[in-house]
Order: sequence, then structure tokens, then C-alpha cells
Amino acid sequence: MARALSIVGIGALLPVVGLSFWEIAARAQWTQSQILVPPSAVFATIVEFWQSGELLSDIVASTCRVLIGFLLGGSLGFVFGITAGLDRRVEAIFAPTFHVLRQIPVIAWLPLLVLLAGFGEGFKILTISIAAFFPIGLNTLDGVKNVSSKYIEVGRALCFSRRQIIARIIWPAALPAIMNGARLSLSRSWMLVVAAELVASTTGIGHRMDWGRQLFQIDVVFMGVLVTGCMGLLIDVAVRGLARRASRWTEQA
Amino acid sequence: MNVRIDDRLLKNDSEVRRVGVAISVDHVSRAFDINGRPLAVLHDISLDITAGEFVVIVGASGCGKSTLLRLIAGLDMPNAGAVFVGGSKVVGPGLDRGIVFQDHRLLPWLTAEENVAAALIARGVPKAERLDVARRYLALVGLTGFETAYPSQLSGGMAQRAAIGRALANDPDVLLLDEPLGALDALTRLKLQNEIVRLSAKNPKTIVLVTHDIEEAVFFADRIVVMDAKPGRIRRIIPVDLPRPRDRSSPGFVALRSAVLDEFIDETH
Ligand SMILES: Nc1ncnc2c1ncn2[C@@H]1O[C@H](COP(=O)(O)OP(=O)(O)O)[C@@H](O)[C@H]1O
Ligand SMILES: [Mg+2]
Repeated sequence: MARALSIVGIGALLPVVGLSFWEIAARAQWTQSQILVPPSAVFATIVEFWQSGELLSDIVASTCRVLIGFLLGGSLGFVFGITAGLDRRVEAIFAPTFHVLRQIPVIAWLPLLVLLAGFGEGFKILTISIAAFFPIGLNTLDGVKNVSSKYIEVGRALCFSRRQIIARIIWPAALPAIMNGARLSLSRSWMLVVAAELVASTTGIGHRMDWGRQLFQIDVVFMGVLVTGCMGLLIDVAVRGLARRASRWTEQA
Repeated sequence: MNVRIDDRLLKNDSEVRRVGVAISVDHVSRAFDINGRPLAVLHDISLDITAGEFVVIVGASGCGKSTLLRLIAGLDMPNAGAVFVGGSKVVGPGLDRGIVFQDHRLLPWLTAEENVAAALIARGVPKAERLDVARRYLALVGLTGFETAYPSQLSGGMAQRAAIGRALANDPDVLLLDEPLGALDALTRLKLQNEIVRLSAKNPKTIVLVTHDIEEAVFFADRIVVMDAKPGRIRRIIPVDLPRPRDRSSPGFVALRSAVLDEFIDETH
């Protein structure tokens, strides 16, 4: 416990030093303080937006999009990974296309998606779905395909049916990879919601940053950057806990 | 050359063997495709094993011992010939045969008792009952107190005990053991050898065990099958008529051990 605290302490050292330096630099007028507003001003802005309820509604708007997009794209990726991983013919049909498409950064889809889906909610959900689809699709496919034939042979020796082999051997063996994919998908979803909101939105964290930029309220932009990072970390820590629980058995003594 | 054709063998079209022969390996050959070329791994193997017999297979590494065991287990199919277990032709794995691999192959996401209980899943035994049976078999192999331990928490010897428990859990007629003690240290191996003898005396089964340890072969076997490599064939079958329980330091044991060793060394020439 003390060890964990001291690690957190060491980890906090860099941000604290960096922020202090930034604060001093801004106050001493070493920089243009309109652009590099001091952390204290950013903090005041965060408090202000929190108290007005605007920050919370931004976070809620972005989070809802992430959840819907992640559920849509993630479950599609999961289904793709499972079916292609279990059936060579499905893999032969879909996997080559999948591997080409996953090389394209999701950001590169944005202009096309705006043209296709307009500036509404559909555009953002679609963007997040694409972002969520690939990591879980890839990890599930690999996870299912890479289940050791030794374990499958154990199932065969015990006269398991195909269904029992899938449910009792392939599934638990692939679960750590699948959870890892889900974690990556969620993390990508969060990044892409901000990107999509920057491009076209009237709500959400990304929109708040764009609004700040247009009004030249740099403290609001910084607030967006900070909140984006903190929310991303929060999501990742939560999912990492789940992923670790699923893969406890892989940590060999 | 020295393959013994058992005269009790009943050759007829119905593919039924006479009672008393538990396992019949009948002119079995197996080849694998290696880069498009067939590699003959087993060539025309015939071997009859009587019910209750303890047969030990020895031979140089790569001579096809595991392949032969997998054919009996039904995990692999021969290119020619057939294997019969309990009178019927082997067409796949069956619960009448329990197998223990060299690496314990416990499923790492299940506890020891869940691993043993997995043997009863195919028979549709309800979970609570499965776990009851599993605990009994864990006790039988000396793992009481480790029921809920995960494989990664078990030592090599303990994991192999659990694997033996899993193979026994269906009370199969035939037990197939592929170098089950090969990866263990000498002391643990000695302990588990005694344990296997105790188990097989308590609940007699037809046992086929593969090993590269000559002393282990003499300690266990009613008959020792010495195999040749490239392609795998049966070189010689050595009956072991020493009284049980066997005393590793008795003159008979020592003499037989060196005789088998000579046979083994010859083979590599
Ligand atoms: N599934 C397989 N595909 C290709 N070659 C195999 C396969 N199984 C075994 N072999 C080959 O057959 C030979 C005998 O293997 P094995 O039966 O494991 O020998 P042993 O158990 O006596 O050491 C080896 O050369 C091995 O490479
Ligand atoms: Mg082998």
C-alpha cells in the first residue's frame, strides 16, 4: 500500500513540476498569457463550468455517444472476430478486407462520413462505431484462432461436443484477448468522440473545445484537453480491472 | 519381425475381437505430410493387449510412441489398419479410455477440482455431482486440500497427479499415459511411480504407458514393447515376470533392467 502510494507520488511529480513551471511562466509574462493561460485560470474555469452544470452535460453527451457507438461497433467487431475465428470459410471471405480497412486511421474517415451522414448524431455514432469495431474485431479473431490446439485436444479426449469445446475451452482461453480488445476499442471510442465533436457537433467535450477556440477562450480549450485525458484514464482503469479479472489465470506463478 | 500374433485373436468380418483382448492394434500404419511428402511414422504395427495388462512402450525419441498412443485414444486416425478397444473399432475419442499427456494439460482457467470434473461433462452429469466425484478422485491421487487451487499454483508433480485424476474420473477401462512422469524431478517421479502402482492395484485397468526411463518400464510392465524408429515398428516385446510389488534392487530386477538397456542401446545402432 505504502509502495503503491509512493509510486503514485512519483508519477505525480512530473505533472506538478510541469504545472508549477507553467504557472510561473504565465505569471511572469514569459509567454503570451492569452494563449498559454496559467493552470490556476484553467482550474477556475473548470470550477465555473462544473458549477453551472455545463461541464457535466458535456461529459454526459460525449459519454452517451461513446457508449452507443461502442456497443454497436464493438458488438459487430466481436461477432466478426468470433465467427471468422471459428470458421475458416468466414475468415477467408471477410478477413482480407478487414485487414486492409483496419490500416486506415479512423480520423481519415471523418470527411467522408460527414458527407455521408451529415452533421447529426448519426455521423458521430458511426465514427465511434468504426473506431470501436477494429480493435475488438482483431483481438477476438486472433484470440479465438490462437487457442492452443493442446487444450482443444483435451476437450476432444473428454468427448466434448463442438458446442462444449467452444463454450468451455475456446471461450475462456480467448477471453483475455477479447477483453483486451474491448479495452482498446473503448479507449479509441473516447478519442474519436472528441474528434467527431470537434468536426461537427453542438454538444459534448469536443464541441466545448471548438466553442472555446472560436471565442478565443483558451482556458476552455485547455479544460477540454484536461477533461478528455481524465475521462479516458477513468474509462481505461475501469475496463482494465475487468480485463484483469478475466485473465487472472494467464499470470503464471 | 517379432510381432506376436495372438492366437486368441478372432479374425472375422464383423470386426469383433474375443473377450479378454482389451486393445488390438491391427496392422496400423500412419504417415504425416511433411512439406507435401509423406513421412512414415508408424509402419505396420500389430499389438494385442490383454484386459488388465500393464504394457510399457519404450523407444527412441521420435519413433512414434505418442502417435501410437493417440491412435489408441482416437485422437488421430491411421492411414492403414485399425485399432480396436473393447471389441469395437476406434473411430474417435471415447470415455472408455482416459489419457494423460506428458505436459499435464490442465485447463489453466479452472481449479484442480473443476479440471477433474470436466471429465464428466460429456456424460451430462450435473455440476454438483461432478465436483463430488472430482473431489473423490483428487483424494485418490493425494491432492486433498488443493481442490480449489489453480494449475499455476500446483507443482509439476501435483499437476500431473490432477491430470491422472482427470483421466481416472470416468473410471475408464483403458488408461493411456504418454510419458506422464517425464518432466518431473527424480524424487517426485519415484513417488508417483509408487502411486501409479498403488492405484493400478486398487482398481485394475488396462494400462499403456510410454516412457524413456528403462527402470520405470521394468518397474511397471507386464510386457515391455521396444520400438524402432524410421519408420516406427515394434522391435521386440519383452515379458516381465518379476513378482509384484517390485523391488528395484532385487537381482531379477537389476538383471532385466540391464537386458532391456542392452536392447535399447542396440536399437540406436
Ligand atoms: N501431427 C503431426 N504432423 C506431422 N508430423 C507429426 C505429427 N505428429 C507426429 N509427427 C512426427 O512423427 C514422428 C513421431 O512423433 P511422436 O509419435 O511424437 O514420437 P515419440 O512420441 O516417439 O517421440 C516425429 O518425427 C514427429 O515429428
Ligand atoms: Mg512422445
